[in-house]
Amino acid sequence: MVIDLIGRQLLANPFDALGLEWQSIVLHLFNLVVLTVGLYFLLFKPVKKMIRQRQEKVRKIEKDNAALSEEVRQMKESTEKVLSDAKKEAASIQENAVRAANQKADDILARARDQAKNMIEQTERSLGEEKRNLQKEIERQIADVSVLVAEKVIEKSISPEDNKKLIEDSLAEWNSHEKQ
Amino acid sequence: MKSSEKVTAKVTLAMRAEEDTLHKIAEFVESRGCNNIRYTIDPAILGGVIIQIGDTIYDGSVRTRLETVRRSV
Repeated sequence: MVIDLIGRQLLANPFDALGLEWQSIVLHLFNLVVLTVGLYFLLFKPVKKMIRQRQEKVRKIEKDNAALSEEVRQMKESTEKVLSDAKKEAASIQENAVRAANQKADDILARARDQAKNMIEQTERSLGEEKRNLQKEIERQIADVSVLVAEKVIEKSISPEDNKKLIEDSLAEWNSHEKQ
Repeated sequence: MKSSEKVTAKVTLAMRAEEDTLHKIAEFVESRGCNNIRYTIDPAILGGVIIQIGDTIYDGSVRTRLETVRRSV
């Protein structure tokens, strides 16, 4: 019953039923509009501006980060290239050094072989000459001994007849040479 | 060379020689202008004869022959 009564009053005059006046509503609406406009200009715009500035700042930072990342990437690539080139150059230098060292070692070995060969040849020549000299010396000594033995034999065995024949043969030989 | 000039031949023998040998030696040196001979006995030459006339030496000694053989060897 009470509810039914309240429902009828609301439908008949809702503002009266709720204890409201239209002026009060308009005033509240006005207040709301003023508050909204005030909030819009005093709070929303600065906050929006601040957010936009923050967003700009973040974009700038991101852009700077991207540029920095690109620069870092390029530096990294450059460093890697320099490292790679340095490694290649080091490998090339090492290879050249090894080749040069091998060449030098080969040259030293070749020179050592030549020197050894020359020394052997010189020694062989020296030995050969020494051998020939020794042979000559032996032959000379044999000849000396042979002549000495012959002298001793002749000294004991030569007879006056032999001596006479030797003298006459010599005289005949010298005379024949004079005639020629 | 004048005929009166005295030219001596030095003859070296290993031992005494017979007369005919000495005669042949004398003939040899006289044919080369010598009018004097001086004989020497030297057993060291072993055999044969060495005749020196001036600067010319005729060497037919056994020692020299042996020396020649030794040198040729």
